[in-house]
Amino acid sequence: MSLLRVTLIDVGWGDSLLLETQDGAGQWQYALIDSNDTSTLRSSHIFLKRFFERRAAESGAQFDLPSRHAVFDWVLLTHAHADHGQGLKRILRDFGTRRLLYPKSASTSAFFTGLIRYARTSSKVEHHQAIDSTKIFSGFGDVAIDILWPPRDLLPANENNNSVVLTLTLQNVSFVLTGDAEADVWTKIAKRIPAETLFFKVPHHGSANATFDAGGGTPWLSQISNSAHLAISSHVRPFRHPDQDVVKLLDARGQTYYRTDQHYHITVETDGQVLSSVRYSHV
Amino acid sequence: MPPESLLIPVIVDSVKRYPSFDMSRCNYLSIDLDTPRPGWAIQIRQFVVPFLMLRLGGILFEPIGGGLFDSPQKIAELFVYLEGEGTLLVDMEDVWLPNFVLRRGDARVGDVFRVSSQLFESALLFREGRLRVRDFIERCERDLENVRYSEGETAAFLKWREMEILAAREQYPKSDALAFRSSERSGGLERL
Repeated sequence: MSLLRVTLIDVGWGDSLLLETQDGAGQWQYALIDSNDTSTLRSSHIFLKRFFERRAAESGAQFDLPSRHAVFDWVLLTHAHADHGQGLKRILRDFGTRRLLYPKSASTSAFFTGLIRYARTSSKVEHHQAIDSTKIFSGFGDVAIDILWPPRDLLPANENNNSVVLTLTLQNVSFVLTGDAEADVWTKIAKRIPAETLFFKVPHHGSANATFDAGGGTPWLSQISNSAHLAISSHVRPFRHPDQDVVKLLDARGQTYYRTDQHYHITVETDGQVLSSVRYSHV
Repeated sequence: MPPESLLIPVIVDSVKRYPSFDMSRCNYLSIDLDTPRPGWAIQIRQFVVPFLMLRLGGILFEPIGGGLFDSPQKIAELFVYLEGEGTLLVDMEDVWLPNFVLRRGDARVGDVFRVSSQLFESALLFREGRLRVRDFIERCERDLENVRYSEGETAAFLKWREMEILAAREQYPKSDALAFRSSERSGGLERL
């Protein structure tokens, strides 16, 4: 039986998502989207270490760091902002990845340069590549992955709007993972949100500028069914995200949503037919 | 070097201009060590105590040999030599600084500033939630003259970026078998 599972790791602030998939032959693959660890707050690293230790123990194996083999099939930096990429270097060093993916960026952020340098020089990153919506994302179990954004060579001045937006579809169910893409992006791609979307990560930590367009419309939310579950990687300090107007709107719609500052680690799972499980570690 | 004379380089990562939050996220160079390492000593007044370092966490503020990061080679050397032995990790972490202290609100991503260790400490406390925003702003207002734009280092970090992007392009694809292809008619592998 095929399976897709996404965990929003509670990293205090910012994004970090662990993806797991099991294909029809029972093979597991793993991916990671973003991290926001520092040397004093290694939330994502600690979560991943414990997760893979537990997973190894279940099969009678042992998991040690640094891992001898690439743990991740791919690691994605959604965009060149430090609150999405801090700590990735340590995670790559300890866990390893077959592919490191990121958008082509005009950003002159030093952390991004440092990450590219590490990807180029380290054997822990077998391949690295800038991706855009023209790339064919293949080889993640039975999950079909479509890159909705960014288009090739767009290079927006607002790096949030350079975020890689993915749809992951397993048979009849889609998940949408959004980075920090703001409403300007959603006015262009909202129509491409699959009708069968049952899980949607609220973009940009639930900020107002990612949810409301200039006219007060809600481009992505208007495409989402009421039965879809949403999740917010909160960024309460220092931005106060999610924005209270967004929270009120979701409440008014009766939308089911979770937030990492309230529910901590949030895991959603599908067997390709339904949202088969939603778990979180605290409320 | 007395702490009051230390100036720490921070590099602007993202500029936010929300009405309720007018600050820039800035990166600084950190160094980290997970395994014990000999050859360290701590000096307090006249006392020197040698110890085995474990889990060092530090902030890098000058290149090997001292001075400023005024050439891309000096930045690159930091990674090559410090990480060369495989136990040290040089990385980037972040603090927030109010926009008014950074070129009077005109900072751009990639700009390098040198800030006093006192102001940097306040920024760290604010980041960790140990200093209220109002108190942080007040400290920044008092320390305004202890922040200066570093033109030479800004140029060096930009050049370093160009060097690294060029080197990555020349290497591409690192693994042909793992490269994602394009759906466009031209097909084939593309540059970064």
